[in-house]
Amino acid sequence: MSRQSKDFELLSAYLDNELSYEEKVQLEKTIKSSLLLQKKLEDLRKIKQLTSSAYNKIPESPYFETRLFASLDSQKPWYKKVLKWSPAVGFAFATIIIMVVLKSNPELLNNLVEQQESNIAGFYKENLQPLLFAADLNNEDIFNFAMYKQLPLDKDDRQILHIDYDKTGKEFFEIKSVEPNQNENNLEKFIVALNLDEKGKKQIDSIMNQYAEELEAQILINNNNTVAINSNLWNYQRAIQSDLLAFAEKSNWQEFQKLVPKTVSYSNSRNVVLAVHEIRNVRNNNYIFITSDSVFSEPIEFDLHEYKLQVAELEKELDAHNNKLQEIKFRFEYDTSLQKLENNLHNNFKIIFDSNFCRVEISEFDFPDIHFPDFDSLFGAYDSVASNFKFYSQYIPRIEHFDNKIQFHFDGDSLKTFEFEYYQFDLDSVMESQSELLDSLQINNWNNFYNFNDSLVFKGMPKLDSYFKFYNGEVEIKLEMEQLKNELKKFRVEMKQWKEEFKRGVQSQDKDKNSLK
Amino acid sequence: MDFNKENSELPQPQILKLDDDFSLVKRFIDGDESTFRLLIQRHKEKVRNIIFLTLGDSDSVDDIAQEVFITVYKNLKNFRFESLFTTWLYRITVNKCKDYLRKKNVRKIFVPIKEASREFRNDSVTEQSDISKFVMNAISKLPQKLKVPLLLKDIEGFSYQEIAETMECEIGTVKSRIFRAREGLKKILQPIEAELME
Repeated sequence: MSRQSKDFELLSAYLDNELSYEEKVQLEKTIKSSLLLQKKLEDLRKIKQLTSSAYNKIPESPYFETRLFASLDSQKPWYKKVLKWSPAVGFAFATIIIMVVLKSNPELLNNLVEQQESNIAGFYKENLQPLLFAADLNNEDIFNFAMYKQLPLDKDDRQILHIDYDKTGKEFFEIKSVEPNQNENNLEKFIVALNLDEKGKKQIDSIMNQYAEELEAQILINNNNTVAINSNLWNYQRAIQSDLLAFAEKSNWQEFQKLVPKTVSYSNSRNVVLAVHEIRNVRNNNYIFITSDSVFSEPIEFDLHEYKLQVAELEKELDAHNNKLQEIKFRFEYDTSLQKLENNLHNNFKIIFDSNFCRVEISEFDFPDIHFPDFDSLFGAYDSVASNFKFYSQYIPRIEHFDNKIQFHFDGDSLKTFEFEYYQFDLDSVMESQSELLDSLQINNWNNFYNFNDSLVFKGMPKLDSYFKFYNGEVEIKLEMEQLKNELKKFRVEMKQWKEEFKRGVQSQDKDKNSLK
Repeated sequence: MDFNKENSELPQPQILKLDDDFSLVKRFIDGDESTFRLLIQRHKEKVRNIIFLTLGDSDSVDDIAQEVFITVYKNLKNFRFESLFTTWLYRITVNKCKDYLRKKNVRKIFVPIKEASREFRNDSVTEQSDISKFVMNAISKLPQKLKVPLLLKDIEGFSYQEIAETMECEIGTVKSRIFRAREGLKKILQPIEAELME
């Protein structure tokens, strides 16, 4: 390369500002002394200017990125594309594995579910104890159970367990709150309706006690807000009801006839007794559990005898330490978790839930099957007794009449005997008292009529004077009264005269008769 | 004393582009492929312009730019951080352009003359002055090895060092090629020099 060419190349780099400081200084000196270099520099500068201004920027491509990523996606290896779907692929793969496992071992799922259920059930089965022990039920409660199918869970707050059959005959139970004193003294009313004597009362009491003991193991509760209901409870209700009414029929057939529909025949009461006997001898360990968050059925072995022995021992121990067994109070707490099960047929239980109400309908369950004779007609009639006996339980007291009083006697209860005294009314005395009252008002002062010591009444009353305007005030009344008095005076005088004349006439007639004799 | 004013007048630290590209590339290598979109957004226009300048034809710009970024995507995990990301990117761009032109030249042999003569038309790009058209036409007649360094310098403002790295040659070569390009351009434009130099 010639020296000139090299200088020209340096000029090009000089224009591009790519020379070192020394090169730049040296070149500038050379340019100053060379016209050729100056002209060349000018030419190169113009070329550079032309080049720099010849091109405009290319317009942006709006879909460049979209196209690019589409291309990139299409060029990705297959495994990278699969990775994009890895969650779905993983899920599908896991599903296939589970299906294969379940196919090869179909009992696995059931076992798992059963295991979980038994774990949960185990929790709720802890420390179960009889409701009767906890709620301290009495004969009245058991009678109400027999007649109205209700047992109190919590006596203070009147929370009850209600068992019954729906229209299709399926069993259901409810836990709900009721108004206090709804079913009070029903047993007493029943006794009254049947007109039972002391012996009859004792017999009823004995029947109740007998069932109370058996009922103890039928409803169990614990501190985990669990109520376990023996599936034989529905039969027990029928049994107690049947037994009570069979006894009623036997003890006072006449009164009993009033309580039941006439169309029903009770000739087969022996069969009822047999059915009751059968119920009482059924060994049934299937319990329906209702808890804060679940309803399920589980068989449990509850040994009432063993339980009582334990309680007795505990009481002894506590006595030794001057303590007493604490009274257990139970109230089923409604939990919204139950609401989640609402309207779902869960393990054959349909749950209807409200803030203070819970109903469990039992669609499919193996209840102990006891054969009751003439089931439909008989229990229909028995249920009607529950509403009928109250009507006949009203006492008609023995009534004794005296001159000045009447006495009402409720037999056997002197406290309820009461009397009503009255006087023979003397109408003259009543009239006299009334006229005295009128006189005391001093007829010339009408204002006393509406002086009731009640300013409000007084203000509201119309002025009497306004009704007697035509009397021209009190003056005319006074005049009228004066005239009346005068008239009466005249009348009295005339009457006196007439009396005297009459007496004289009678006396003269007597004298004439005597003289004739 | 107003410290705030004083502080605001102080030169503020610049976030280096180098760091930005490197950190994005590093994140991509670590598995965060979303950073690739950021790299595209930062450099796509420069890449497209280099392609346009190199080819002198806007029709294939996007296709080649797509190829460039696909190549980058495929090879980014092997990036060794020995040069700037942009140097690596522009080198790929220039090579892609070379490949394209090579294939095009081969194809041109089998294409009718009329169609082949349509090359280097820039009408679709923008409405430009006649002088610019003359200049662009003149530049297009330069050999590729002269034209590319000239345009990278005068249009894209690359330094000789950057051009050398992009073209994979010495700085002296770049200097020489740019001068020769200008000399060649002067000769091509000589017939209308009087008009151009006005």
